[in-house]
Amino acid sequence: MLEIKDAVISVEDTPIIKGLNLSIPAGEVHALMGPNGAGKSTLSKFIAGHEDYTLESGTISFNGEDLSDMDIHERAAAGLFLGFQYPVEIPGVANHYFLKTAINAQRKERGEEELDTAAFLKELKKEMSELKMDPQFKSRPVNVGFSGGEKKRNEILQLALLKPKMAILDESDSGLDIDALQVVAEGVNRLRNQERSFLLITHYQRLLNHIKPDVVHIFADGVIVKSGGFELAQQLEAEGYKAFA
Amino acid sequence: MTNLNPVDATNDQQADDIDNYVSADYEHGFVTNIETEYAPPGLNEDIVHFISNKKNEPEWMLEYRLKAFRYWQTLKEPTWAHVSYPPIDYQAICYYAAPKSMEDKPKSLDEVDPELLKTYEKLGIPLHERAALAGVAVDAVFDSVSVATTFRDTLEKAGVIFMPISEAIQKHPELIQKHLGSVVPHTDNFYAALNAAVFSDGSFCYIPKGTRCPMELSTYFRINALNTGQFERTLIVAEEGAYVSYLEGCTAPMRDENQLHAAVVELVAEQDAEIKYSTVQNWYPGDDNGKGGIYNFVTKRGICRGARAKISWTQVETGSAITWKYPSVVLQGDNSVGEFYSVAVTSKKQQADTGTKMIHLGKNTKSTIISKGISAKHGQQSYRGQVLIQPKADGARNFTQCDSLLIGGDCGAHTFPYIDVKNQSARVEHEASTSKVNEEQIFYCQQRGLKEEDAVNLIVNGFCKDVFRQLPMEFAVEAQALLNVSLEGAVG
Amino acid sequence: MQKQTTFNFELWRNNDKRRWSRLTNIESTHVIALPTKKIGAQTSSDFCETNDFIEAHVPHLAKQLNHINPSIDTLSITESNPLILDWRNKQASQKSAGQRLYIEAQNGGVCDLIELMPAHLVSPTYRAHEIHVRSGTTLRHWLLEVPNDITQTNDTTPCGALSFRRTLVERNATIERHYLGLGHFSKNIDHTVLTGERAHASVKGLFLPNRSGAEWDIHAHVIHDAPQTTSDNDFRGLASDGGVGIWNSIVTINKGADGSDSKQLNHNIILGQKSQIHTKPELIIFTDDVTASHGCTCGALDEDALFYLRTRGLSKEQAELLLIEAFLAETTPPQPKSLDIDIQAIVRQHRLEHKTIGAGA
Repeated sequence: MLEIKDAVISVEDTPIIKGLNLSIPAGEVHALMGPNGAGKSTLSKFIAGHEDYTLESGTISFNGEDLSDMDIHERAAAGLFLGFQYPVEIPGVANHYFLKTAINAQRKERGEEELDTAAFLKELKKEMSELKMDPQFKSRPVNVGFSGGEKKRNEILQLALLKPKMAILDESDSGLDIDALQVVAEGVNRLRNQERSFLLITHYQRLLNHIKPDVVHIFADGVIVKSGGFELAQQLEAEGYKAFA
Repeated sequence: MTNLNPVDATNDQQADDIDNYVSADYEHGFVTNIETEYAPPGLNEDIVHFISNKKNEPEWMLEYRLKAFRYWQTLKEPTWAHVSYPPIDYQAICYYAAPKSMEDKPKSLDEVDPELLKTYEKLGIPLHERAALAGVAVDAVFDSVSVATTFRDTLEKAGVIFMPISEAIQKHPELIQKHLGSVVPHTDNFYAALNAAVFSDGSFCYIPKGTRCPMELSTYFRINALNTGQFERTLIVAEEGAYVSYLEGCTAPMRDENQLHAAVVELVAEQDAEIKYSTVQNWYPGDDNGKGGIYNFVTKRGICRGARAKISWTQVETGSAITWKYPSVVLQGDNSVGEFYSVAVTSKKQQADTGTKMIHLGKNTKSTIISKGISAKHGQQSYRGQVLIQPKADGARNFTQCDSLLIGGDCGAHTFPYIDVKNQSARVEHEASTSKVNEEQIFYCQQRGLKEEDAVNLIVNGFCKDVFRQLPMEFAVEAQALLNVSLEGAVG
Repeated sequence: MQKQTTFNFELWRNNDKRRWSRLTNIESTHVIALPTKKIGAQTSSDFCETNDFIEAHVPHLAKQLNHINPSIDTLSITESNPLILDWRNKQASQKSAGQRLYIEAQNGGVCDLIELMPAHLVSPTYRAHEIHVRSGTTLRHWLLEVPNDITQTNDTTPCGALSFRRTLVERNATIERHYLGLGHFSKNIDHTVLTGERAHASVKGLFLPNRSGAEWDIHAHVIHDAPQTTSDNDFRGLASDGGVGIWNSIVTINKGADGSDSKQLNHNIILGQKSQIHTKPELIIFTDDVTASHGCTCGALDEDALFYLRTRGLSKEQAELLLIEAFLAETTPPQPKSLDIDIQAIVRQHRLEHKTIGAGA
């Protein structure tokens, strides 16, 4: 589904990612683990299409389509979702309004019919209760005054409603207590299916105890140094990043 | 997505109007072909006589105008505002223009010139329908003369007087004599003096003691004739315990010349009375090169005369080439409340110097100022506001928040607050911030599927939320749409 | 529209004009030139530029000062060896004093400049300072108005000082100003231009007008003329017993000064009838890539805090003094090591002169 080949990605002419190969087939969950400063967040923002990151060489495609020509919102409509490490606050814009606007913007982009309000609200209510979110979050401004855990839950809520083909979750476990972590993990596990892929970007193994990945990649200094199964994460937890440097 | 789109085009709109939407040009920029009666250009005592004569005014009114005119002649145009424009030739302006078919006043809507009614339809205010549906009484001012006043019957039953001010001068001289110029005297400033001398029409609204006005009152202003200034005068009096919500919408056709609009609005709130005054101002802003557009030099002031009175100004200013406007509240009664909520947009080459004054005289008076300024393209915008706490205003409180948003590197946003506190028990808080639209927010919205322009619209609308929520529902929708239209092309 | 540098004198109210007209009617009085310190080599053309500037913006100051020819002197000052300019004896007793000062701080590092001025003057005093902070240098500048004894002179009617300070700050350079505003009648125009990238200006201080007729006033204008420049203006004011405090901060961010950041803060407390605070933070911004904010408040002492302290056993007076002390501490100038005057003690002493504090306790 996501194919990255020999990608060199730079920020202001400084290469951060130096020849990355990553292939995530449909329905698989991959974990990308790396120390701080390895370029994990660069990768996620680059895949989403952030303008600060330039593809110097190599290719990136999504479902066979070349992503490099696509604008951020076009990638989103194509089914690419990025769960932010630090979800952004948008004052004055109600959460439900934002969600509905996003859903219908994507539907419009894909040439689909817009979702009507009643159907949307019904689904929103259902998903919020699945995530054990207080209904008041529906009408509060997007992420404004949310705690770290509430923000992450809100990301999962958006994931559930936007139904992307692929979700990249950037440090979704940071700032979460154990209960909130479980809720997020349950949300992801519930949304796992044959078609949908996940890329979990994380520093610790902790999240992977709750979401079992199909493949684990160790990422350091802009390249993947090793790939393997879940046991790789366990090895990493035991030996630390030094063992892979 | 519908809510993010500019105003929905209605089915019966002409093709060229739709073109106007598409090209994001001024959508109300059409000219109505009605024979118009002008006074000769220029201003002298004869013109003042002419206007007064045209309106069959009583002697005292003529005297008032002449007094104002003579005073005006001694004044110089103010230059302290942070705006620049070529000198105005006050002798080149026509001070009176009336659609000719109005010579004999219509008795009802049926008698109104159909061309006029069509104009209102284009503006989105089909008088009968809209009024009936929305329960809004509209007093439409078209080049100075009130065309039709709807729902007067319902209002009359409630004891509410809502009529053109020219008519009120004839029918309720005692009320006019008592209140006209009592809040904004003709000596107040250059434009107020000019208005007092030549005002042609406007609205008068009187809510008797203990009465809650049964509907939202609304006036649409429109400048149609070429080279005419519009000088309306609005006076709203809410007696003890009365309540009224008043909506004012403004729009004017596209012209290459600059047109002057110098209105005066006076509000009087007696004890326990409340006046809510909302404005959506969308005068023609001029083109991208700064050609044409309205000079909107307006004096608006309300007085809370009695205890616990409340006056609330809400304004959404997206139009005009130059705006010079400070809706103010004099808090005279103890425990009275003044509020000012403003969204102002300057794009193209628009300039705005706007804000408010809160003058605290009474004890425990309270005021709130929320101002949101948005500058894009070559727009230059200034917030200018004064909070004055006089020595006797024990326990006075003010909270001011004024935020500016900048879109693009060629615009400007300026803040000039004046805080003068002369009482030790007063508490005044002022907060302000200026920044550009947050790129992280845009990225976040784009990642969720919004186009960049829609993302900016969404964020800007969120930024203005605290003000929009003060507006009546239908006005809020209109305001939001106007904001999006005004900012079109500002991003990217 | 661009690059407005005009000063705004709106806050100089009517009674000021009367006061100042008295001050400016001193043409027959001899203006005394005080020694001018100059650090580093400089031609006199720098003065001409400032002369024009003063002429345009503060004409009555120009009239007093433009015929003073500064002498040139070179000094080496550092953090440990500060330049202390003590004007107290001269200015307190002179009939009328005019003063020109040109200082150039260069060669990187940190230099300290401490000025001590008499809080009470018996005749008008005019000061015009030009300060040029060269790249990479930090200049810390204390402007301390220190109480002085005025009982010895016959004329006890206090007079004012009008000070004009113009500062140019180059690339990576910093000017840091600390005002202690105890002057009975003091007007300060502080004009700073950040001319190079990452230049920084900080203007902080206290003003405490504490009697009827006392008036302390600052108009600080910082112009950001280069990218990534930063400025910070933070004053606290306490107006009591009829004193008047005026704070006017103007920040201009010109086109091209991208990435600039500016903060303006002014918190005030008013005590006593007829005391007044006028606060006016202005922002004039011509580019979008900026962060600028200002906040100001004005109010009485926090009633809840007062009550809380009194339940803990403090008298009303003690509680008030404690809260005021805490309030003022935020922007009280730091104590320079080499100065034998204790700033904290002066502030405390001055504060105790407030009659309204603790009244009725």
